[in-house]
Amino acid sequence: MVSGKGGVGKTLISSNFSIYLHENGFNVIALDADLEAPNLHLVLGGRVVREYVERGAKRAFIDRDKCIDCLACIATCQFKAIELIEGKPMVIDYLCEGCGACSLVCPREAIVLKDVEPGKLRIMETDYGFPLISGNLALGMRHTGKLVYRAKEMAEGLAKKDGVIVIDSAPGIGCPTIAAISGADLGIVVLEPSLASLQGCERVIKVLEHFKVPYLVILNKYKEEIMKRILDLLHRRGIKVEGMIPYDEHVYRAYVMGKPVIVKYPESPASRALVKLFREVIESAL
Amino acid sequence: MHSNVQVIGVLGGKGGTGKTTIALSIAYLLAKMKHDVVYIDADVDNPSSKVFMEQVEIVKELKAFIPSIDTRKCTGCSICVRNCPENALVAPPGRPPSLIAELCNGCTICKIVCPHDAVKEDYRIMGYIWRGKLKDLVVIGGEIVPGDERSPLVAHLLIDYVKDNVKNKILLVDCPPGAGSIISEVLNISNIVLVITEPTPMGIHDLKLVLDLNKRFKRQCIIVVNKVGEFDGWESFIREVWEIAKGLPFVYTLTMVPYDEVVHTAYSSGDLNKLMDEKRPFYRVINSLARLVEGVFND
Repeated sequence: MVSGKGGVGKTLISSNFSIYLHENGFNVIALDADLEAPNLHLVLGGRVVREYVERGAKRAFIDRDKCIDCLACIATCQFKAIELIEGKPMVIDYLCEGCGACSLVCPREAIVLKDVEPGKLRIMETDYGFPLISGNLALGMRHTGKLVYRAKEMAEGLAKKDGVIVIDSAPGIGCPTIAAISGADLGIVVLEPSLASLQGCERVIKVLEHFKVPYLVILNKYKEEIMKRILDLLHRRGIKVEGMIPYDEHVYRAYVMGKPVIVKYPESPASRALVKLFREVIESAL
Repeated sequence: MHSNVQVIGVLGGKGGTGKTTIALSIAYLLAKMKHDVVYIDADVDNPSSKVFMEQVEIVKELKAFIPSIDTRKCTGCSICVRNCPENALVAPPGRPPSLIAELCNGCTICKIVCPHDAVKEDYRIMGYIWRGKLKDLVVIGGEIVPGDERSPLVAHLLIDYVKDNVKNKILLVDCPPGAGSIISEVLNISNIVLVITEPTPMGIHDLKLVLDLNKRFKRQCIIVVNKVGEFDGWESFIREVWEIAKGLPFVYTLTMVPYDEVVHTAYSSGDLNKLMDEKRPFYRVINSLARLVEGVFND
């Protein structure tokens, strides 16, 4: 599930879709790819089975004893990750890509690349009998993409031959989102009735098309009064909506209780619409 | 940032809590109050402030290095291929390499290691810096080209551009959702931050993450709980937010913004006039917030 804009309902759809798939006999693995601010476990429940401290990201470290302040590193760094602080070059940890270009140009071999922890990954048991891969990016840092790829590897290990991996992507269209959609069989673009979300939707569609991932668009949180206007606008912008979920207070109430809405309020308008959508996706895509 | 510039960072962790709605409203009001303010949209993946403006002009193209192999000088030694940290260069043995552009992150290592000076500098556009106007308010933002992964770098280049070109006294910087490196960057340059959350379990979960991140930067925070009253039972969430915030030395205050259907529609349709309707409670709350921020700067 992708969106471009945050807060439109990716977690709603991924959590409930995972449940629905599981109830219909699929071998489901849920994956929270929004590792800067993971929320999927708040809906599905998550008892940690295994935690992994990831390695594999790199960062440059400058040895102050060897450094002669020639500043070749600053001139070389394409990520602006080395700054002059009180006349001395310092690596800004949350900007460093770990490419190593700086260490190659340093005339005194004063820069080394060290392994750093991009974050943690967790295999969790949900309350519904299927696993959830989640985790946390090291706070304020980079390399979410690497962490997402690792999480996908873990999910693929659990999925074996017949698994369905449902990925709750990060908002935006950057590195973690690209990592989430890369190689996916289907992208579900979640849209809410706002211009900001429409802009995000168009941008994420460009990314999906760039990476040749088939997709469909779902309109979430719609209200009857604005329906016609929204659908007109979408039509003018060339966006076809395959499913629609109404704005429904039951969604919020279910969230407060930490439960998926199709489990807690199966007769609610949102649940009915979600189940209809899931049935259609299973029939056409799976 | 220059010492006489005041930066207000606006962040929140959870997406959709109302960062842009509140940030833009405050900036607009500060501009109306004749403050020397500029709004910076650092949500380079999806700059929402754009939807409020008819058009924006591109002020800078952000270029990223990509290698171009000079086949006259290339000996097919493949040293560049072996040294590329992203495995973006491929070559049959003894032949010049070709680039898998998607994988290239522009580090220039291939050019650095080539013993034959056969790697030339080419570039591609990874993003833009744009500029627009919302009545009295100048808006400057960044935008990444869809398909490029370098959002933190685009955001950083936006901030660099602002440091070099923007001389206004107050900068209001709107962040993307999350708690990653762009948030670190904005916390680093901020004098004060508005942390926008909502009275839901996810809002609170993500609020804790950004407050944790701020323990490193120690910026004074005004916590703003938005969309209060959209649903019943919000009082217990306010209490929860207070419990989290009260122990932290950098929390300046906590305030609430009521949910307003009209404001929500105004945001959704990019209608600034409706958003800043002086008759609505939202306007009064934003006005108080603007004055609160003003007061913090005067201290």
